[in-house]
Amino acid sequence: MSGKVYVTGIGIISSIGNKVTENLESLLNQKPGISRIQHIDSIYSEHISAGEVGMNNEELCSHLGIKASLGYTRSTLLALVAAKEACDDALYTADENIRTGLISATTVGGMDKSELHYREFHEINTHHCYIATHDCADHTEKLAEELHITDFITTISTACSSSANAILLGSRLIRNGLLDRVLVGGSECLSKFHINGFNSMQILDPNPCKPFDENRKGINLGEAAAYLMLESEDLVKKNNKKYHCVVSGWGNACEAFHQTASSPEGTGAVLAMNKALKTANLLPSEISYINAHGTGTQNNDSSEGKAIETVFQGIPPPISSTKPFTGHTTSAAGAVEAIFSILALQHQILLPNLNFSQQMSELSFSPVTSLQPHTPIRHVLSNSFGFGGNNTSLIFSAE
Amino acid sequence: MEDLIKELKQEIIDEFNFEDMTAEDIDTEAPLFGEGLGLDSIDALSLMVILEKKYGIKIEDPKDGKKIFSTVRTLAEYIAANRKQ
Amino acid sequence: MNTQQYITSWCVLKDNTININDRLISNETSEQPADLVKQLYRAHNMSYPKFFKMDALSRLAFVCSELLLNKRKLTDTYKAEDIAVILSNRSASLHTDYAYNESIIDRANYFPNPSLFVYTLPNIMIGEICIRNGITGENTFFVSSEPNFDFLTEQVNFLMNTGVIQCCLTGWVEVSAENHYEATLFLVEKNKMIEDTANFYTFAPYNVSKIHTIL
Repeated sequence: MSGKVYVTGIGIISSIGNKVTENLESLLNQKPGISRIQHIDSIYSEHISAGEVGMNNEELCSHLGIKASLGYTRSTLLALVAAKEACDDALYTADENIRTGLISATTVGGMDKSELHYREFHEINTHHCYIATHDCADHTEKLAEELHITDFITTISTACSSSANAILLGSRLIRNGLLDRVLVGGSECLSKFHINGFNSMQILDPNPCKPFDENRKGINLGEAAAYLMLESEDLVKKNNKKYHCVVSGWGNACEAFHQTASSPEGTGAVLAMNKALKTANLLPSEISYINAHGTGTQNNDSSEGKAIETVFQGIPPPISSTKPFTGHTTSAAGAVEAIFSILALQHQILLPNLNFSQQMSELSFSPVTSLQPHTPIRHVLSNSFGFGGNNTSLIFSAE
Repeated sequence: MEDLIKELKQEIIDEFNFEDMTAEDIDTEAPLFGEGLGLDSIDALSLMVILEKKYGIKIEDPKDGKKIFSTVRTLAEYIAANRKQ
Repeated sequence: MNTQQYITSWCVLKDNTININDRLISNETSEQPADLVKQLYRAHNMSYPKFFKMDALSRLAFVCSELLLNKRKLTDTYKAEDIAVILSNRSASLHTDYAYNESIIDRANYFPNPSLFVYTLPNIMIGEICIRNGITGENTFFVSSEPNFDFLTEQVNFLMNTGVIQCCLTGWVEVSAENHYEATLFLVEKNKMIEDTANFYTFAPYNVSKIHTIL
């Protein structure tokens, strides 16, 4: 059993669009989704740029046909929108003869509601339906229920590499014949909790972020959900299914350097990229484009840049970070950028690294700064790194 | 100054839960980061929070922190010169 | 080619009691679990000052991993990248989420604490174990409402059978909002690394559950 892992459906909701086609259009028009915070009542509203999904919770509910305020957190609502799009795209129907799994990722979980009702909960035990939704696994249960997935359900929480790890695990289960198909991805809404946290670490850029720029100042946070339906070669062949691409490589490594900081040489990133290349059985020179983690912090971009130089022996393929479009969508970022990588592959476009002006002094390369259509792309490498030193690299290939 | 130094040592012990230590165990002149107490970049941010909370001092540029936080003495001297509360 | 995996060491901690490889080493019911964890740190001379900076969950995971390894350096036997740490729990980092939230909830006394924020991620405890032991292999953290040892054993056995990893620290490490501590940690190795397999349990759901419920 070592069949290919096909991506048969994709779905996404982010600050640059409520579905795949809208996201693609924003990417093609180089239109970022970063603005001042509007949906969250924060003392930082005037000072922080973030990628917010346009719809508020009521609008998301009515979009989904859900009666409002029945214990659905924003992460769950976003997850439902993107997961349903991916399922529709894959022509998914529940079928008990097909071993189907769901692997979803989040870190914030139901924090948006918990922080609103936290005081009251401590004082008078109200708002039970939301406090019960605090746990990270809750949104996965809701998705599984809605989509009638019962064979295999799990939730991953590894900070900003969470949904990349969901894709990694799902791909592995398909490749080795443990499942026939699996919906993988992640969802993360903005919360005061993590806006304040990242702000206290002094790594938020109040203005639009500038990954890989000499004068980068930090992150813009964002919210999004993105899901991919992965199916086995057998299933795709049997049903003569259309597909977007294959997931050909994956690798995860722990850097074992610091709780939050990456090592100057990016040793964990090097390990993850090399493992992914090995799984895909590809040489570094065969990678056509890298969708970098590229958060815009001093530490990440320098460490990731060095790691890329090491793996690609100083001559990396075209690179960009798409975080200036969506913001850093933390747990959802791996799946969001997987979909952007797939779009790059399908439409043969290199995506631009917006807001870039000056090459970093310690690096030998600059990112792609404008949309490059008609570029032959066969293999895309996508990086996602998380606190805890959790580094994941994925490779998406045309076939 | 000596009182402030002692107070700061206790603050550091409390903030980082160095429960096996007393103020006497911290060397006023020893580096706070790397060697010495082994504090790191996140701890520097926490020290900034203490400065703001307790002494009303806001360090705007994190790079300034490096000099201010080099030893308990440099920290105490900076606070004595800049404290607002 | 399938190999057989064995539990070469294990550690179970539940509130005030701890059992290592079927040896009850402490049963002082009067103590808070947090104090027991500290007491174990001191009694076993773990000498790692960073321990005190960790949150409750990381301290629990750290101490259990130290007890289970019993000063053994895994990287003497295995390549750093061949060792994985795969943990799970129910409440993620809820205990520290509350503590951190206290630092941002009051606008009159508003000082978000970065040291606490770092620990509002459950996978940080895995990072701590990896830093301590120089482990650079695969890391995953799963959230589930109950320990799912069928799933965990399947995952780990699968990774070891397919050669992705050679050795794994795995289990369940939970600190609940009500301050209940619960940890079950296993060191899993392949038969070819073990002199006499008769001394060890196989890494199968039945054995794992039996050990988990020993206290």
